[in-house]
Amino acid sequence: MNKQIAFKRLKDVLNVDSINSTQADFLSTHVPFRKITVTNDLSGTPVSEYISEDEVFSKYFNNSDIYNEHQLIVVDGSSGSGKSHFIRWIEAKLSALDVQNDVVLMIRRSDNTLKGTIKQFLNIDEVKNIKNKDIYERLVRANQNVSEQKFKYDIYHKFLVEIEDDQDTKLSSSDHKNFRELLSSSEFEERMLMAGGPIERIYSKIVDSNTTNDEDILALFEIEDFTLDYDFNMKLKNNASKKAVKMANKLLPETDGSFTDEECNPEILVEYMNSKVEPIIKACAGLEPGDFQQIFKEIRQELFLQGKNLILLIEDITSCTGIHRDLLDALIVKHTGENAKDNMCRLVSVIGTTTEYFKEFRSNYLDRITTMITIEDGSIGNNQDDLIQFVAKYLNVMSVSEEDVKKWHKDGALDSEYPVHKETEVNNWEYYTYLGKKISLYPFTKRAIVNLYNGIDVHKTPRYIIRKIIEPAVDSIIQDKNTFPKFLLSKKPNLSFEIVDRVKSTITNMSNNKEEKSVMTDRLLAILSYWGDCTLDTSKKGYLGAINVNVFTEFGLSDFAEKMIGYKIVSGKFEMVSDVLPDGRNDVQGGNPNPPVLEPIPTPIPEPKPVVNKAFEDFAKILSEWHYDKKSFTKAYQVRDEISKFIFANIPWQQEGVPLVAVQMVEKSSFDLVEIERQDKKVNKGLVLLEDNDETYQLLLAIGKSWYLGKKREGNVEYASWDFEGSVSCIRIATSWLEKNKKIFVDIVKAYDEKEKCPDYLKCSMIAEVYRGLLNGDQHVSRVSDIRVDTYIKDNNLRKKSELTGHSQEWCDLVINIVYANSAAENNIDLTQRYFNLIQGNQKNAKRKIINYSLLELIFKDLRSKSFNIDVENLETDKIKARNDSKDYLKKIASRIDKVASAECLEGKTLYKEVLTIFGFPEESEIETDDIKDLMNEVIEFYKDTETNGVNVSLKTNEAMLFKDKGADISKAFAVLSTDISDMTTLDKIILYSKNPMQVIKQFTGFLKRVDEDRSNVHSEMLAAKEALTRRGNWSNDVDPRFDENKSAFEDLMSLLED
Amino acid sequence: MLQEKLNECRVLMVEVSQNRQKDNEHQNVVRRNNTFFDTYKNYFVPIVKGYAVCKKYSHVNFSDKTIDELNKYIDYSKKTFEQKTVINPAKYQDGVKKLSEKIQSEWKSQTDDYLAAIKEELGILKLVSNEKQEIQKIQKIIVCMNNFSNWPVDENVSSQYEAANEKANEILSKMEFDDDIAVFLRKVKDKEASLLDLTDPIIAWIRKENLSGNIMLSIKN
Repeated sequence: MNKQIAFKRLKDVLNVDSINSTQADFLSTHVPFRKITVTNDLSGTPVSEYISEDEVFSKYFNNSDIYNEHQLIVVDGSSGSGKSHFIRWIEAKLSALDVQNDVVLMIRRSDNTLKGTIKQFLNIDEVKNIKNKDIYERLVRANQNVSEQKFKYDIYHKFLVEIEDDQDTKLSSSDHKNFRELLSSSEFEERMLMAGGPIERIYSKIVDSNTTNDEDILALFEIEDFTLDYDFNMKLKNNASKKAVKMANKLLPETDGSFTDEECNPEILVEYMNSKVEPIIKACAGLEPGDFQQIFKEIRQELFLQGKNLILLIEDITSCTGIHRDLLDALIVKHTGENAKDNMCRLVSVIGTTTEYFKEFRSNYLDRITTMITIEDGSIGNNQDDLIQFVAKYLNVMSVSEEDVKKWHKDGALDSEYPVHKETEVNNWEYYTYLGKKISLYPFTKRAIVNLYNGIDVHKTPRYIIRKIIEPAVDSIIQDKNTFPKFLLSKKPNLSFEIVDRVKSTITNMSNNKEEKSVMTDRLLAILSYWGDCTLDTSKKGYLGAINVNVFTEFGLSDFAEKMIGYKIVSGKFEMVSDVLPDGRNDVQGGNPNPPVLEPIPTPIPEPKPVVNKAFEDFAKILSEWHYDKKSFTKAYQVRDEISKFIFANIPWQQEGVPLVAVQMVEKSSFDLVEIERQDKKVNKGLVLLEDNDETYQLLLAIGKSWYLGKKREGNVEYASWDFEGSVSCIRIATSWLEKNKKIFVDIVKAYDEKEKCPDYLKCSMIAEVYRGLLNGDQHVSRVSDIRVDTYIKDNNLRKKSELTGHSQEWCDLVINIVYANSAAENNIDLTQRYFNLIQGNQKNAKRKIINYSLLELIFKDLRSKSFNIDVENLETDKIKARNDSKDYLKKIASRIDKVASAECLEGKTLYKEVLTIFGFPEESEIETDDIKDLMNEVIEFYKDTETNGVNVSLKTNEAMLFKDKGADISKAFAVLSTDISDMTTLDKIILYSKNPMQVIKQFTGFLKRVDEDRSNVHSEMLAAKEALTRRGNWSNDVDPRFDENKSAFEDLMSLLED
Repeated sequence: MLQEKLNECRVLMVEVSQNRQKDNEHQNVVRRNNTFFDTYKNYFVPIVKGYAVCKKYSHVNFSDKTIDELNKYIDYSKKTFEQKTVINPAKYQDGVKKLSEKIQSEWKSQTDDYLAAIKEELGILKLVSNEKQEIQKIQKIIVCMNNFSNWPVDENVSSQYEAANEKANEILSKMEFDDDIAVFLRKVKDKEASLLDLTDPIIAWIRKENLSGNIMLSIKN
């Protein structure tokens, strides 16, 4: 490439409207059409054959056998397929033949309006003296002074008038009226007249426009023009008539794109409106039906008079809207037969048309078309060599000065003299050999050209090769080679995720700033995608991904390449051998019109094949943006959850000393085991934060694959698996990551550090169980050291809530409302048992438990040595709710236990005092077994006496015998109640009363009270009996005993009067 | 203690049992003795106990005759306990009963007179008081004073009266009325107040004490 020249000539050479480029540029860039379909006898039995452009020319344009025959040749092909190029080439060949008797007229696309076409006819030298020329020229100049906007309004209103008067319509009467209303509304009129709208398209076909129209746009209405949207209809509803709104609603598509009314929808309306286009265009141009045919007939007659024939080449009849029927009608008129009397010249006409437009008139003119030439997509690119030659020639001609090209053309455009530019940008770049001359392909390589051609997603036509590949690439390299290939940066790279990842990863570690890295990444992905073989293969020395490392150096990407290949690229001497193409062909000698093998251009298959899974690709994109662009981690929470599952499933917890109950607690927690840095949901709701680093990135990727690519389903349950291609490396990444980070998770689940033997929640659970046992009377101990480890493994039936009669109300309330409330005791017992239960196999709920006794004993002894004391109030609240259960349980017990112990002891003391009173003992006396026995003996005797003396009282002798027998127990209970508790801890007090001594004493005192009641009744009865006997005179001595009995009272009475 | 009580009860049972076995040998003596001891317990003992309490209050002066009678029956009782023989118990019974009525009458009339003024003031205060609690307190004081007027008086009633008297003085000292107001309130209490008694100072006082809701007008038939 010669940048200086290319910069100037780029636009001229690449002007895809081939009619506008110079003859010299045209010929110097022409690549022959090798494969053209020619079909004859369209009305009968069409016969098709594939022939070259030269064969077409010699058969139809340079064939003396058919010289005088009328011909109508249609050149058909998709937009940009090269129809214009082909017709232009016919013109060039005809002019080279230098036939004296033929007038060759080319109707150019750039001037193909109705009036422009007529003007070109009138400009032919041979018809300058045609009669009525003044009238025709006046016709052409009509409306020239009318403003564009006014003209557009005229066109639109002509449609309104045309529709208003139309009696022959497929639309129903009401639809027709409603449609007219809609067209009359100012909102819809504005829509029709907007830039790029249907009226502007029609306008541009009427006026004598100089604007270059590159596309094959039809001056017709399109379905989109009548497909309305909700917003427009709302706007219409506020301003237009009801009828217009009614019609507009019919043009509103359903969610699936369909329309409600089959007889009135955009498609029907487009067909209807398009039927009015041609008469309106003609009316706007001021032409009457038959005008054009008359003009054309007069031109042919004039040529006939001069003894000349006409070869008419119409580049694109598509653009001749308004006259195309008139034009075609004129072109089918033969000069022989019944028309011979009109003295018209012979006519060979070649009409370029798009396949789509050809369908419009094909059926009416089928028997009049003599030959149809079809140029299919890929007729340039279906041969790799042609494609490269095509690109090479354009690259070459834009770097050759205009003078040199013109000189070559002037000198006969000989192949041997074909001018080749001198490469000024870089020495020894990959080249294409044309007729023995090396044409630099800079900035492309052969592989790049092929890959870029394959990357064109629409028509693979010459126009698109120029537009989509050559022009933007050259433009990019001229502007700044350090941003090359700018035109590909927005395209999705055709690379596997691993490749993209490696590129990004490598760039991340480079010293450039963020923006530079971003651009560099995009450039490299584009280069690797199109210049290379979509790999990062370094097996071939001097190559990276099948790209010569010098290419990277040239585009300023040597740092990356050096990192990948592992050695420094020697700068200075730039050597680049021609690339090996995917099909194995290399350095094909161009210029051979008939290469030995015409192979299609292969579509490169990247190795390894990129993963095709939309969900995974979306995830990979999120992940990549998270890791490389530091965006939020979003959406892919299933992958995060899969990481947790992976960790839970793959750490041998029991081997690591973590009981499965501890694992289950974390598994069932509302907190996630892992949290991803910058995750946008459930922030701070994870136990372990996975920071954004390469390790995490690789892990997420591996687990992501297991989810998206290896996903399995069982019923309604989906789960990840390693069953996908390439899973081995993912397994390795995930397992090695887990091995490295295992301790973090083990510690999190264990919930205690090296200094401790067990987690706080277990300690709380075990302490709570001790309190439960004491309060419930399960523990038959007298001191803390008596408490045994067996407490935790005894049968659950022995731990059921026991009878609490005897205890203080506070004690009973604690046991009933806290200790055993809502299965709290059972749950706490279960926690301890499960913690020490060694699960065998998969049977997690086996009845038979295998207890880790040594661990249990170790922890138990530790707790006992600290008197089952723990600062429960200051324990931190755990994120895992289940771990707080035992702490909360113990907290509730501990918060009440002091009060309970005090109340129990106080009641005990009160009871003891009461009993002492009953016994008549002084305070702080001890009540011994003998004391009890003596009392019971007295009771027994009392009842015997009542029996003897015939006193009516319920005997309690047997009960007294029983209490007498239990004298030892009762005295022990008394001993408990009499114990000095002033220096005791709360636990000691609870232990003291845990055997419920008050129950024994209360039973005993209850009995004594009942006995005393009996005694009191008997005493009263006896006193009354005695008094009655006295009043009857039954006393033992001679004197009435009442004098003695009342004497002291009388003396007291008298003493009151003494003061 | 229970053990002793049981034992005591057992002794009593034995004693009763033995007494039952005795013949009724003291038919004549026992009838006189019963009269004496019934009078002694039911009348004499309450008279002496009440007198012992009352004598410390100066507002009552028992008549000489009453004092003489009291002394007479004291002497009789002493002699009887000393000699363990009851003589003419019917006379003793009649005399002590009359003494009881006399001493009761003298105590009540003199005490009522003594407490009339304070009870009247409390009654007025109750009428004009807006506080339920204070009304209840006044009512309780009046009940205690009424109990004090009743015979026989014991130590318990005496101490309750003294506490009530103290409270009454305390309440009355807080709310002092001038004479006009006191006269007016008295008339109101006795349902003798007329519209003419509603002088300007009285109305001003009623407004000041916010008593308009407590004092009503009525028309006599």
